[in-house]
Amino acid sequence: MKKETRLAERRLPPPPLLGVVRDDLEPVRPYLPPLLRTLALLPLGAVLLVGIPALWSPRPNLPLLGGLAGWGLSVLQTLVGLVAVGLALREAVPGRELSRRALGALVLVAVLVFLALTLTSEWLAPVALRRRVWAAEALGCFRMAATWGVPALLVAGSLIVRAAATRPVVAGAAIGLGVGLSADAGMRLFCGVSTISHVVVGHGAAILLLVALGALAAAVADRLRS
Amino acid sequence: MTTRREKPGGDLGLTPLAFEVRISSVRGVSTEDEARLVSSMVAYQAGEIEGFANLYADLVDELGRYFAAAAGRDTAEDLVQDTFLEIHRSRRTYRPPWPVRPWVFGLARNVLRRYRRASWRRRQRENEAVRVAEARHGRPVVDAGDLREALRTLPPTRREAWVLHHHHGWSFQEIAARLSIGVDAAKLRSSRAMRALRRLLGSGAGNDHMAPRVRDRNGEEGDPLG
Repeated sequence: MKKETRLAERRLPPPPLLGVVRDDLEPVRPYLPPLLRTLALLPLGAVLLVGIPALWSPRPNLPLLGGLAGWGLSVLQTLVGLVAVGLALREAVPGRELSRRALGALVLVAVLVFLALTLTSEWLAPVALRRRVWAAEALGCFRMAATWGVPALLVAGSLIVRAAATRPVVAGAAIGLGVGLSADAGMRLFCGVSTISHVVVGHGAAILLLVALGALAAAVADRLRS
Repeated sequence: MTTRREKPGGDLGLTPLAFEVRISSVRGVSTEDEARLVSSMVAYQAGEIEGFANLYADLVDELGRYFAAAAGRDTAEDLVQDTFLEIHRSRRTYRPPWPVRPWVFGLARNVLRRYRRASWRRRQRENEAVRVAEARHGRPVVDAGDLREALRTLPPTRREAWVLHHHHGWSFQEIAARLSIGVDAAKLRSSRAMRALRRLLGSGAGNDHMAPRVRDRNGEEGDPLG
């Protein structure tokens, strides 16, 4: 009987804990599911896709690519980017973490779409880039993608920061990948150079930068939270 | 304590049957048990303290076992309380009717990760304290390794109070505020830690240099760290 009483007592929250909870117990609405929050980011993806070519000018050899290889592949890359953002939002929910296989598949699909866009562009609209302007072109694309990507990362990343991810670095990296792919999709409609070395260094580095920034920001946010 | 256990899914706009189907579609989940947790969580999110109390009653033992296995019995109770505080802070990130346990244990993993990080930092500070003491006295006040080992054998709560007071020079008021405990409790923890250290470092050694040197504000003689 005594033991039962002791167990019953132990299962009640201690008064200090109960006090803290009671003092701050207003009703809360659960966050929307990752899918809906991703859909809410569709305008952001659209801005990244259309904003860059609209603000400057579409790539001069866009007609050579045609609608499917030009806009179609960029839209596809934007969608893959949004899927990455959605998976990152899911990863950030405790207990809903992605499996290694899912993470591997995400990276693989991202690389394949990136390469498909590059190789298709190179095949349909090859551009010979002079060696002396190669570095300047790559740096220009890197800067522009980062300039568009970082603010977008702040917007999308704010959704991760509010969560309580068990693997903040993974969630942050995934959201960086999504934003990076989306920003690059817009860049491909602006940048007429499809040379593999240029794309890998100028565009790929910008994506990697956003992946690293996403991971770093999520890790820092996690430290601050604790 | 609550009538929600009799009406699972009521707050979710689901019929009991639909609720059961959705819950049982999650692999490896005991329907009744999980339904009770989900109902508690829904009530808790709606601002009902009974929901929190039910959740606590259902999970406190499991969390206690988890932390006892991962971090030791001395610390488990504190970490369980930290987990419930984390649950409270993050309750918006849970979305019914997904299983509650993976979400709770995801948060518990976060708490454990932060505890380990804090422990590592504390060890670094303690090692630094030993180095400072050695530099100040020209020879080891006590053997650094012995002191480290002795500190590690103390329960973390006592060790923290002792280190904050004797090494960092915090007042007991400051310690009490930092650890969310009373001033008397802070004094008691530090005092018990000092007694334990004196016993651990003094017995058998027979060295005068291990004797306490300074009378501190707590009325205790000395500080092995100097």
